[in-house]
Amino acid sequence: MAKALLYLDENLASSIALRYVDYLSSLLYLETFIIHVVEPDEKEQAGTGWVRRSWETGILESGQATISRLLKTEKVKCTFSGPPKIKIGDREREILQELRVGAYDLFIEGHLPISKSENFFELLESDLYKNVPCSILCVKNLSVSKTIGVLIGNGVQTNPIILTLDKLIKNSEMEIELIHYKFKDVDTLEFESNKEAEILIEESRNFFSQKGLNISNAHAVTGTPEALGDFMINYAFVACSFLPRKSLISEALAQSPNSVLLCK
Amino acid sequence: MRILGALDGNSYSFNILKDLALLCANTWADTTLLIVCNEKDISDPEKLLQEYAKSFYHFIGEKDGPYKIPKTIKITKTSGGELLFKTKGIKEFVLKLALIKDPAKEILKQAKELDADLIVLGCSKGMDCEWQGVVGLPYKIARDANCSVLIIKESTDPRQITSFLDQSNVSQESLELINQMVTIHDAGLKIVGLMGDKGVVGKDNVERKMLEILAYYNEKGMKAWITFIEKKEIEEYVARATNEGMVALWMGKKSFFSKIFSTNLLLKLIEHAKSSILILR
Repeated sequence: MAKALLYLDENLASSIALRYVDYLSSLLYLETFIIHVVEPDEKEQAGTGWVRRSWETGILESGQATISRLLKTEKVKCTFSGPPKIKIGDREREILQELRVGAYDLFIEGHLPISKSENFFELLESDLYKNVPCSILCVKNLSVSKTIGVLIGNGVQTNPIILTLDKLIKNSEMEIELIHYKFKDVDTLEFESNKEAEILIEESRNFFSQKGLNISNAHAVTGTPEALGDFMINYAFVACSFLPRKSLISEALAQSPNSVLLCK
Repeated sequence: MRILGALDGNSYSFNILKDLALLCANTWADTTLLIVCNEKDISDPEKLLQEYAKSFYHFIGEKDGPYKIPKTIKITKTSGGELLFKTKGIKEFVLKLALIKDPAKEILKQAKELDADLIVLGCSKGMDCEWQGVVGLPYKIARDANCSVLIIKESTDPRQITSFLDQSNVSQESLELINQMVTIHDAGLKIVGLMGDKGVVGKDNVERKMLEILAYYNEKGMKAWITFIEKKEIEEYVARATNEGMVALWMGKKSFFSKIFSTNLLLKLIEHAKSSILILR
């Protein structure tokens, strides 16, 4: 079972993340906690003593109401562990604080897929993503599938992926497919194997099976990152080790409308 | 639902018949196939009508469906000189052939009289988009019709249907049309929203509508996902999408797309598209 922290706000990205966690909870063993951070304007922050306490109580109640409204609107069936954690302050700082104190395995948040890759790179380079002490599930869409795509090669580290998936999907119905990618300037993705891909796929298969994670299929593909992004849409999510810098793989993850599991 | 299929004697019209027949049968629509031809272009109108009727029945198959499948195709001539074939099962199927000079006017008139929800027509490949030798007829229909219009430029099997949405005013019929197009082609569905400087572009909580549509299609077991593009890249993105598969545009009165696609862009879109364009109203 994985202990997860889900960040929610009252927006489309959070609605999708919430519904997606609801779907995943029917397939995986997740112990999910909700967090919401209210970031008041500096002008709003006033007073000391009871004035400050009354103001904070008001803010917390308003945050509580936001999350209650969201949960009611989305009508999710899964259950959450404990009441939503409502915090006041800087969003990144509060989330990081909670993740460190609570020893979570996974941080989940929604992120609207935008065709411009820069948007996703900014996220990867953000202080929050760089400093999160656990793996991150960046939810972009409601992908209904029981198969996870795992990227290998191109500097992707297999070990953090295995450790994360071990906690997340072991003994579940979910299947894993390996994807070895190589760049080629062609319009459509080509399925062509080579010695390097074969060796890496075989090695990865062994590493995964040592942890009791079986690989149902493996693909060696060549093409542009855009074509790889399109190919990955059939997976529930795509797992990759955390890549803080721009690369062909992060470009493909940015282009894909699919959710991404960044393993640390 | 009532579908009007606009046909002529050219191969691009024959090529759309499979999609048209499946769409009519799957949506259980009252169907009218209107064949409009110039007298000089056609030697045997009755034979043409027979061929269309037989092909339509061939594509819908013999399984239980909304249309009565006759043993023979008996064609009658109306007082106005039109050739007519009509059956009434659970739903109506009408096939008529009219020899006229202004096909666009006739198609729009028939759509209005029938109170059609959708007009389906094919056209020639390339940028001319000819129909009966008339350049730009599909554009005229797409621009002037009060209902949804599906223009099939080439009979292709799109892997992906890209639908653009910037309004919450989306009819159930249009959702069902997209659903059918996805099912017929076993395609994926991309729902595209617009992102401006201040967030998602659109009125009346378009974000909520996108989520509802996404959930609606997911519950039906379809591969659907949402994505956002910036306002400034819309032209380039739409052009790319037409190369990848079918493009569907919701063009209601409140739509931002309706504003930007109302003049040259709609013409450009139809001219440059390689597969099909679905204008949803």
